[in-house]
Formats: sequence, structure tokens, C-alpha cells
Amino acid sequence: MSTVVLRDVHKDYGKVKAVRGISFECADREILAILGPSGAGKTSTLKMIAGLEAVTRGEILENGRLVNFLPPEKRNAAMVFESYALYPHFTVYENIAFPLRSKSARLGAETIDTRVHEVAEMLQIESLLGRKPAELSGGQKQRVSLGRALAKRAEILLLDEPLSHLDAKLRHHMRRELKKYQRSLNTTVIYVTHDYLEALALASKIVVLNVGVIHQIGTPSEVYNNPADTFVAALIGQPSINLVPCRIQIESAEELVCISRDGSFHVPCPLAAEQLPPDCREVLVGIRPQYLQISPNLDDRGMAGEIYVSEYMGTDSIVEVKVGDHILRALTQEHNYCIAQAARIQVLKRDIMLFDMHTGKNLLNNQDRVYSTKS
Amino acid sequence: MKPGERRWQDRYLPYLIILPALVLTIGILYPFILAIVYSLTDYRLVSPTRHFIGLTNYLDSFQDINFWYSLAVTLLYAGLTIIIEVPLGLGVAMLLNHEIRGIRSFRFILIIPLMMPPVIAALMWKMIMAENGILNYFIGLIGAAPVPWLANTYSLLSIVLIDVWLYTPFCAIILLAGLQSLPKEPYESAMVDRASGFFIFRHLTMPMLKPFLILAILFRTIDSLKMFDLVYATTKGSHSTMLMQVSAYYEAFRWYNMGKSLSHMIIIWVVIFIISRMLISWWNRAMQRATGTER
Amino acid sequence: MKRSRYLTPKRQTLIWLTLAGYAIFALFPLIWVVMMSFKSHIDIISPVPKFIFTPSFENYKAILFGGQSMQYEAGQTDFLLYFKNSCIITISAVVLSLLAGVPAAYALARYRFRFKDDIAFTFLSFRFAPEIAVIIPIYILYQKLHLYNTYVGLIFVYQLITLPLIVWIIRGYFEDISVEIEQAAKLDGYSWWGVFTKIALPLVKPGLASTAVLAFIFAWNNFIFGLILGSSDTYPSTVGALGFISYESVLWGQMAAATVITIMPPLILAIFIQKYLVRGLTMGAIRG
Repeated sequence: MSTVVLRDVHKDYGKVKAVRGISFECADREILAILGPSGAGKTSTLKMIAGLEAVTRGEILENGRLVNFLPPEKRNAAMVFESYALYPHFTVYENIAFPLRSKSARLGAETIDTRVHEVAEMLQIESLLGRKPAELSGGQKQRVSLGRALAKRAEILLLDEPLSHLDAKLRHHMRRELKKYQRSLNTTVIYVTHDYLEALALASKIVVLNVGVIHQIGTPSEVYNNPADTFVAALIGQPSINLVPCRIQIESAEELVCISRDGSFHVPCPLAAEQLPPDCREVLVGIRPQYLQISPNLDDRGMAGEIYVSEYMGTDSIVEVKVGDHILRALTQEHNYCIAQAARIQVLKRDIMLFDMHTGKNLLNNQDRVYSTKS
Repeated sequence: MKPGERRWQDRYLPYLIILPALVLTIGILYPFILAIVYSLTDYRLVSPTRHFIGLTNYLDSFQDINFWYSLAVTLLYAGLTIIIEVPLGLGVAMLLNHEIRGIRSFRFILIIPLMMPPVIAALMWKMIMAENGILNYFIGLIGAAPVPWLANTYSLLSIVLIDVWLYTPFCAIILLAGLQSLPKEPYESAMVDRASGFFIFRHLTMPMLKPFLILAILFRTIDSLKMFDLVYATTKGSHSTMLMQVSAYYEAFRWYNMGKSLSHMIIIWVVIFIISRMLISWWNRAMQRATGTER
Repeated sequence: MKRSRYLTPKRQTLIWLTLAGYAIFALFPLIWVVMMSFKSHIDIISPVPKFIFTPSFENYKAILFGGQSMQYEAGQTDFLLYFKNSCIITISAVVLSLLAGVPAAYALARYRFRFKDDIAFTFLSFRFAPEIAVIIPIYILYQKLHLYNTYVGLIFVYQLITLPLIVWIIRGYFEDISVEIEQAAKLDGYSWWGVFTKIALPLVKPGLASTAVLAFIFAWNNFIFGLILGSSDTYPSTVGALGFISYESVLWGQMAAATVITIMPPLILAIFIQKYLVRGLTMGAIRG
């Protein structure tokens, strides 16, 4: 059983408040991703779970025990550092064997040797066992670092941006490998990243962190389809979501419209009048790029727009359309748009998100919204 | 042990680790404190008693012409050594900053004087500067009269010469490290802008070298103010070379005026303290300016 | 910054010659004294300095084996004793400083605790203090404690030279190690002692060795402590070398030989630590 619970945890570095009261739970054998931009406090949180940083306020429980004052050498956790933190004076073999040689591990020489080779084989670094870290490439170092963490067979595996220094292809490959390892070793994993793709792909639960505060905790699907606020919505998705400030206007008894200040941007409002919070007239309309429908046929319904820029990406194109004063990003599989071409822009009501203009909070709280097709 | 408690070991661990060094330090601090205490007494080694006489030693010193003379000689000595060694060291450093053949040998030869015991260096020069020594021989070769290097009129300058011989390498090494640490880009863009050699030196090199210059001046000043070995070995402290520590030595171990001697030492110590504080804060500012981390 | 592309051959030779000139200035006294140590007495006192002569070992024999016994102040026949004293005192002082100073350097590098800066500054202040100020009280104390003219007494005072050096410089080397490497070791199950001995110490080994050598050199070159707090039993060779000067005459040849022998250890050791010299000389202020 290896659960991790954080309750109202704070971390101050002198006057700087890096972590401001976060709480979340990671269940046994779950992969939990902490997602956020740099400076969010992700690494501080991870180090507090590892015991490498002291908790300023709040409680951290591992397996139900309060571990705030438990020193790192006594915690049943292993960590892969962003900088890999390999021991430069040891060979790869020694690096992986090091945690196994500690007094608390109490393993015999043979067991240690078997374990090291086991891990090396799993990570395909057997040929590197005699080398020193200085002779390794980035990807190799990352695997050795992972090997050192896995060799321990700790209950909790902590990963600090393990893939961020790898090139795109390798990153993709390692993502899949990581998922495999976790399943075979059955450990609880807490994974820190600023790359939302990694979080979505790997985790069963995502904690979105920004400037020391949690914005949302949810499954990948929840976080993508039902972002708690504009920050989460903008963080996840490439190209990022379109946010347009609008007023809500009453067209008729059932139909409400969100309309921008200059009137050029108008979409149906996904909420009925009684569902809107009182006094709420100004909102941010959120539309993911793939839901923006562009039609070159000027007789179609929709907003009047003009093609601004088109970027060919292979399967898709990122097209920027000018609607009034707003530039909207769209993801489409049509590649033949010309600059300044006129078009009509439409969005389905069900694809529209609504956020409060001042708090940024998501006004729709549909837990059961289901999305298919395009991603 | 409850996991909620912090172990007492964690709080006091650093103190435990540092304890042996601390014990040694206290062993040395205690005499320092005694020094201050004794300087306020009329302690003479020959008499068993000592009486607290307050600042009498200090006041006597301030009225004693010999004290001021000794202080003046010391300051003169420090001034001369710095004025000669720092620019000379800079020149040598600039010469050494080229990757020409044999430069490594030169760099090693340069530090040889620095690695010798100052006393031994002084003895060597004593042999060279003797009345019938090799130095006067060379002087004779160019037709001048032999110089009594270690006699009263010249002895201070001779000791300055030995100091220069010993410690110019010190300045040179530090300044060489400074020169080698300078970033290339400003120079490259200056050359593209066709700046003259002097301009580059004055406005690019010198400001960036400032921290290193200050460090060299700092260490040389303090060591010059404290100089003892060279004087004792060459002239055993003649009148014109009576530096502060030398006179304090005689005051304490020939006339046994411990209290008085210590008062001299405390005074020079205060001078050293003030100068070093100034130079260190100057160095800090220069470092910040050079690395662009000013606040 | 090297402006090597501006080095015309003419300039190169100019630089080379100037450096050679300075090298002659730097080496001449040394070479002259070495020559003098191999000269027989007649050659030394010759009115015209002789550059060509037949070398003789008589000076070395005299000071090493006491070939000529004459009555002089510090007794030149005891030169071997003085050399031995230097070895014992210097090596012991460095060892003691290492044992106490390396952990202290680690504590200063890695931990935060009250008085940390004050303690660090105190170590530094020893480098700047005028020696006589501390020697006088110690002289008085040592008389009472019977530590005057003992190895132990001198080894302790020599800490004034070696301890600040070791603490400040090795602290810098510890600080150069990335913190995360030590954090990884802690997480791997090692207590502070395990991390210190298995990770931190091995990683500072080269710096440690060179700093120890530098401390040795500075301690060996010291004169004043041995002069005042030692006596004929414990004088280091720096003090012993002065013993060739007396009221009657100066034994130039033997003094030269003693000089040569005395400077051998630090000079030879200096070859090995050239790279680390700048850091050592500036107490770690410049990371060379």
C-alpha cells in the first residue's frame, strides 16, 4: 500500500511562497501527474514528498503515516531528477547499485548484481554498465537515472520532468516505455511536467498547478473537456484555446447569444438563462481550435471572417482567421486557404465553453460531457 | 520514535560536524582575547604581577615618536610594495596571457619565488647584496660604485626589492587568472568597431579586471603591514627598517614589555581590519558590477 | 582573452625576450645560491665572483654530517634535526587541519545554522591577523602549560596558517558539487555520513589533495612561530637556516646548502599544484 496524501501544504523559501496550500491524494499504484508552467512549485512539491525539502506548513502522509519529519533516507521513495543527478565518479553499474548497497537495503552481493542486470536489461542499457556518466548521451543518462530509481523497488516513484531534455522522438518512445515499467513494477508514480501531452498520455489523475496553487484535479479527460478555468483550458491543447470576451444578449426566450463588443463575433450561448449565475453578463467564450468550422462558401451561416495566416503541419493546418478585431486559431484539414480569403466561421453550441470574465472559472460544469472525434 | 517529531540530531548536526574545528578556533581565539586584555595592563614578563592600567599603553604609544616612526615606515613599506608590485604584476600577467611556445614553462618559473620561504629568500638576497657580493660586482661592471644595500640608508629599499621579487608573482597569477576569465565577445565587437588598443585596455580590460586588482591589493596590503620575516632575516630590525611587527617583537622579547607590545599589535590589527573591510566591500561591489548583478 | 591573431613573429619574439628577462630576474638568486652551495670556501670568498668552478660537496657534508664543528648560535650541525622538525610539524599540522577542517568545510557548505557566517568569518580572520598579537599570549600560556618548545605546541599554533586555508578553499569545492547529487544519495538511503564519505569526499579529492599540498607549503615556509615558540629542539629549518649567521662570521657555503635543502620540498610540491594555485592564494575568492 503506497498512498500519498497532501493536506494544505505550504512551502516558503524565505519570503517567497512557492507552494500555497495545496491538497491532493494519490491512490495506490496510480500515476499522478503534476502539470504546470515553470515556477509553479511542482519541483518543490515533489521534493517535499521525497523529504528533500522541509514542509513549511501542512501535512504529508505516505501510507497513512505523517512523514513531515521523516528524513529522505528513511522514506520508501525513489526519484528521477530533472538534471539526472548521476554520480560522476561511479560507473553506470555502480550508479544503479548504489541504492542497493545502503545499510537500510541490506542486500547481498549476488542479489545486488542480479537486480542491476535486471534493471539494465529492462532499460536496454546493459552495454553501458562499465561507462561513466560523462561518456553518456542525454537519453542514456536519463535511462540510467531511471534505472537507479527503479532498482530500489521503492513504493513511490517520483519523476521530475524526466523527458524534458530529450528530443521529440525519444520523448515519445520513453513515454510509452515509462507506462510499461510502471505497470510491470506496480509502483505509485508521481510525475512532474510542464508538457501537457505527457500528462494526458501517462497519468490517470492530473493536478494542475500554477504559482503554488492548484487549479484543477481530474482525469485527463476531465481536465481536457471540462477545464476548471481559463488557465487550465489554455494550458492544455495545441494550438491553445481561443478565448473571446463577450456579452450575453437575449435573443428570445430560449436563445441567448454571446456577442463580442464590436458585434463581429457571435455564437450561441450554451447555457439557458436560468443556468447563468446572477449578475453575470460578461464572459469569456472558449472554443478549441478543432471545433472552429471554416467554410469558404460565403452563403453559409456564421460569422464573417477573413483568412489571416495558414500554417501547413502535414495532416492538419493551423489557420488563423480574423473575425472583426479578433484573431481566432483553427485546426483544420483543409490546406488550400489563401491569405485575405473571405470565409464563414461557425461553432456548434455543444463545443462552446463559457468562463466568467473576472474569475476565469468555467461556468459549465458538465461532468458527463462526452467528446468524440477530433482531438 | 514518532515520525512527527524532528530528531534533535538534525538540528544540532552541523554544530557537531564543525565541533573539532571550533575547538581549535576557540583555542586560538582565547589568546587573542588575552592579547587585548594584556594590552590594557603593564605586564612585564620579568615581574610576576600585572596591573590593569587601562589605555595607558595606547596613550603612551600615541605620544611616542618611535611608535609613529615605526607606523610611518610600515605604511611606507606597504605603499612602495603595492605601487611596484601591482602594475609590474599586471605587465607580467599580460605578457603571460599569450599562447606562445614555452609559455607554460614561463608560468611555472614565475611562481618559483612565491613558493619559497620568505626568510630563505631574504637570506639568498642577503648573500647577493653583501658588500662584496655578486650584485655589487655587476654594478662594478657598468662602472658604478658598490652600494651598501643593507646599510641603513638603503636597507628599506633593498627589502622592498626582495618583497617585489617574492610577491610580484602573486599579483601576476591573480591578474592572469583575471585576464583569462575575461569574455571574448566584448573584445571581438570592439575590434569590429575598430577601437584602439589603449581604448580597449582602459574601458574594457581595466573595469573587468577591477575585482582581481582589488584582491591583489587586499592581500598584499595586509601582508606588507604585517611583514616580519624579511626584515628580521636581513637586518634584524635596523632603525630604518623597524616595521611594526619587528618593533613589537623586540618590545616583547627583548624589553619584555608585553603590555606595550600588544598595544602596538592591537593598533596595527585595527588598521588591518579597517583596510580589509573597505577593500572587501569594494571588491564585492566590483564583482557585482563586473557580473552585472548590482542591486 | 588571447589576441593570438595579432601576434606577428616580431611581436612574439619581443614577448618571449621580455619574459626571458623576467625569468632571469626570478631565477638568478636561486641559481646563484645553488652554485654557491657547491662551491668550496675559497671559491666563495673570491673577490671576483666565479661562474666556473669545480663543484664540491663539502658544504652539504658539513651540514648533514657535521664535518666541521664550530660553535655557533643555532648549531649548524643540527641541520638534520631542523629538517626533521619541519617535516614533523608541517605534516602533522596539515593532517590535523584536514581532520578538523574538512568536516567543518562541509558543514559550512551544506547546512544553514545560526552563527554560520560568524564562524566562517572567524576562520578567515586568522589569515589577516598580525602574528605577534597571538604569539605573545600563547608564549606566556605555553610557559605555564609546558608547551613551549614542543611539537604539540607548534602544531597547534600552525593551525593559524593551515586551518583557514583548508576550511575556506575546500568549502568552495564542496559548494561546486551539485546539491541534487547529494539529495539523490540521501534518497538512496544514506545518512549524512554515508553521503559525506561516499559521494562528497570522493568528488572533492583532487581539490583536497592540492589544498593539502598548498597548506603544507605555507606551513613549511613559516618562520615566526618556530622562532618564538620553539627552541633548539624544535626549530624548523627556516629558523635553522639563520643559524649560520653569527657574530664572528657567516658560513656562506653552508648557509647556501641549508637554504637549498630547505626550499626543495615546497618547490617540488609546487609543480603539482599549479592549477589550483589561484584558488589557494585568494582563499577561494577566485575559482581559478
